[in-house]
Amino acid sequence: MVHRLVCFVIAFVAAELAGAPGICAQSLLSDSVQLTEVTIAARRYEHFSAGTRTLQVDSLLLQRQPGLTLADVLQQRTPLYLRSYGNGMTATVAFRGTASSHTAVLWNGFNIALPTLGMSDFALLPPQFSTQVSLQHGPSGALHGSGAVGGAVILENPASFTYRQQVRVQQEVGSFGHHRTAASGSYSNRRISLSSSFSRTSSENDFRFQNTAAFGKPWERQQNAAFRQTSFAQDIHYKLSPDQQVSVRAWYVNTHRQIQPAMGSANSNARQEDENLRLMAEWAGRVAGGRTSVRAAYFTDRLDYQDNSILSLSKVNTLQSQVEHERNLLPHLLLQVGTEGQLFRADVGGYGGEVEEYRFSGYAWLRYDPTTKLQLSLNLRQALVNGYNPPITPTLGANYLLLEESKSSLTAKANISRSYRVPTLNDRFWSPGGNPNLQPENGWGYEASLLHQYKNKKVTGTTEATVYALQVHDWIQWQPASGGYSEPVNLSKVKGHGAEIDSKWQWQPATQWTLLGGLAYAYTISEQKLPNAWGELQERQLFYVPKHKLASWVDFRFRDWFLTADATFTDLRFTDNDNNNWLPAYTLVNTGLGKTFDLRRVQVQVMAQVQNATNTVYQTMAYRAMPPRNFRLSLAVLWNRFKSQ
Amino acid sequence: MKTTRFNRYLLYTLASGSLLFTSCSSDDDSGPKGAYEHGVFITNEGSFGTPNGEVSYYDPNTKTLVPELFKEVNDRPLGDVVQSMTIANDKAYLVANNSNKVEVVNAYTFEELGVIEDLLLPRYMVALNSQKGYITEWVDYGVNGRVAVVDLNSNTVLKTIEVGQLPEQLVLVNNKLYVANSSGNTLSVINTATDQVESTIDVGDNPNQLVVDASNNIWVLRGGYGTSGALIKINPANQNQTVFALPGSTQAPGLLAINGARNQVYYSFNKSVYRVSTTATTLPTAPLFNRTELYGLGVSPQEDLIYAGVGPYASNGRVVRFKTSGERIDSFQVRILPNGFTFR
Repeated sequence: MVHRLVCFVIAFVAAELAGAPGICAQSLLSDSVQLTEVTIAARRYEHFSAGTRTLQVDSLLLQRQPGLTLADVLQQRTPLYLRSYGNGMTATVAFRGTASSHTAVLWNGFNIALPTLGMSDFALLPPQFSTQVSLQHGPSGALHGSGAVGGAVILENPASFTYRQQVRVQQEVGSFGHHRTAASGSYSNRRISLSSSFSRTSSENDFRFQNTAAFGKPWERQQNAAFRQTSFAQDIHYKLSPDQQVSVRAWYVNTHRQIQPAMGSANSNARQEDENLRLMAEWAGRVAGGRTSVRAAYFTDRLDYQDNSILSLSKVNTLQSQVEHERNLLPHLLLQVGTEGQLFRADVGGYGGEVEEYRFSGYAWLRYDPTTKLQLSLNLRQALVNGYNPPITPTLGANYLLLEESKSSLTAKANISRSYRVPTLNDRFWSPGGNPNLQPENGWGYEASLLHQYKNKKVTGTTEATVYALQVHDWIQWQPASGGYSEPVNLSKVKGHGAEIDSKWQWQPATQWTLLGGLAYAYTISEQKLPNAWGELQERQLFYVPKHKLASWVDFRFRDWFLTADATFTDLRFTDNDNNNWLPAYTLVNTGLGKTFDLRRVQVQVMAQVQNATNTVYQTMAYRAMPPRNFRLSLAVLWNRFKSQ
Repeated sequence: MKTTRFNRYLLYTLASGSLLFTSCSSDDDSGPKGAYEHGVFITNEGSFGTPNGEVSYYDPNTKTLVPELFKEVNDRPLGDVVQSMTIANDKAYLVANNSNKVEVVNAYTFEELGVIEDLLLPRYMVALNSQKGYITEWVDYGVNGRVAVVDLNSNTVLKTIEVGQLPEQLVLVNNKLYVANSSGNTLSVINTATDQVESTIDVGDNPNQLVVDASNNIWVLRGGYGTSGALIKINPANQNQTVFALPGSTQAPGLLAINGARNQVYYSFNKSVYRVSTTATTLPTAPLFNRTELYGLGVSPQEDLIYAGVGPYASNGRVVRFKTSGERIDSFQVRILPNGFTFR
């Protein structure tokens, strides 16, 4: 069905364009300006997240360098540590020194973490053209539900009802057999908004590396690391009336990967095929003086892993629904109440049969602005899961405008938030070992921030600095059980604290010139108590949590040329919980140069990129070789038509 | 072979900044053969899928520990799932199951000498003499495993001998090799003169661990999920079996070891360690000690002490030492999943 829809919409838009007079070739480069208009991402949460640190990820990056994955973007633009098992391999992110399973990933309001593993592989989430990505740093159980212990990644595809037609085709080639083809089309008017996108990425991924784990440390060509990924996405939004809107979204991703073996481990010809289909429908309208939304989603996730000795197939069907009502109780008091239901039906070889789990939660979010300078939010969520119940999770936050001048403002923010994470289906149902008596993990977070905003004719800038403390209780870990297998238990308590700084600046000395720059830095301490060699408990930094990570970038535009560069520094990371071994710190640099050509009806953009320009040898997970310096060349063609109304 | 070994040694000494005559002095037999001549080698399996398996070296006289011996000497990780270690002919053979290799190091200095490859999920090794060794290979789940016959001079596989499924431990008695087919119910008997399977011995489900006592009886620990385990004494001369049944079917028996005099067999079962005399007619009912997370078991012939490896998966394990009475002595921290001990 999805295929047909996509074909239909693309054909439809193309036909429109063929006979369309006066197509205006709108500059690809000025997209950032429009995006800010269209940006209503995270709006659902925005009102209720006073005091929290929520950041928009630069959408332009994904649009201009479409070969980048969501994982790449998070690595280059955020202080998050990306745990990647190799180029194109499983990649997860963790906020504030927590684990990958402590990052909730929400797609248009629905948690899309695989319920069997309880985490999301960012290599399996190719963002479509219109995806807006925002990051919630810190716990937010009340807003984002289970799993938002360290933070949340929020993917949204907002509707735009301005008159617009657009078709974009892109082709990219790169080192190690990298190929990417993408096409997207969108059409919108005052009543309907359609967008479709297709992409296919593949890579041989057979780069050379030195196998430092083998006898004689030979140079080798990477074996068994090729991958290919195909994705389709379709959004349809329709205004039934000025007050009512329906949306349907579909996202299908098929990923076939060989699994890159660790250096020093045997190549077991491991391969994995993931098939993820996500469908959702939403109705929103004004009812009884408030705004009501009803959403339903159906996901089917199939993960087929095979190697020389293991066949593992897991199929999960997920049904989710949400009903929400938002209304103003007083002019400055906004309330949203909602309920959420989830049904997971998993057919996993390791469970010895199909299992089902229901989860419900009810939530109430309150936003109150007693004065123009002060914004308060109080959010609550209570989840119900068959077998046991997680604790009630409140969030209390405030923004206070300390200072406001003609060009700049300073805002203080603070919040306290509780979080929870329901054990995964594997934790509960794996046989043998699955432990149905596990308690949900839960945690608390405390943070305070200062936000500075500056704007004059030529310069705009935003800087935010945060300090936080965080705890996670009943952290689930697997350990050997007496029968010769392993079992998960609620084992440890993890405590962390740290600081985050994020600063973005734009300088436009003349209309033809723009300089954008930014940096994001995190200092992260995340510790659990473990015995040392003498059996004494000592605080140990959690493995794969760098103390320092700095991401910085500049983007320079002159007429139709642009030059971009980013550099990230990642401090050493321990590779075991005992802090015996570590991966050394590394710096990664990527650069790109592009030019836009305006032809009569279309605009063409050519871009050349150098990834890992300094040819740094590094690993993000121990003994997983990462690619050396490599190159990409891309060509994009854009048709665009607007109607100013 | 001799010259290449010498060249290699030369390279190391040059690289480490030592002078040439230090290498000459190592050929001199009067001094110590290396820093790790007498002590306990602990194999730490490491995390599956990552080559962080290691050998820790413990000197019981000085109570000093080198937690990552291989990495310390050779500046690289040892391998993925270090299953076992065998010392033969002044060399130590380190079997890395999920790396499909056996690393060969000098048994006294632990300096790397070579690697045996072309193996599929190798598990345990014995050496017949200075020329020939045998390595059990799982090959894969659901198919027959095999025993690789290895030329110990060239570190190459000469031939493979098909045995039962998931062959685990192997012992040599009177030039015959006995191989426990852990996913089947037999021991395969290989004639080392012909390197062919000459018979199989039915022992019941899932024979796994083997030791040989002073009278050259083979002790087999068997049992898996869902079937009752047993400790079996086999007289290889006539293949007569004495079966000591272990109670219950839900607990798989764990580990098997024998003391230096080879007259006391130690085994673990249901979170406890027991000892039985090789001449006993029944199993003891009382354990020597109880221990959760038990992962490795050994008995030091030099000290007659029990070494138990314990640990979680995600962080360092410990070695706990006990007297043979079961009284706990002390413990020290090693690396992830200590699964076995080699005493010298």
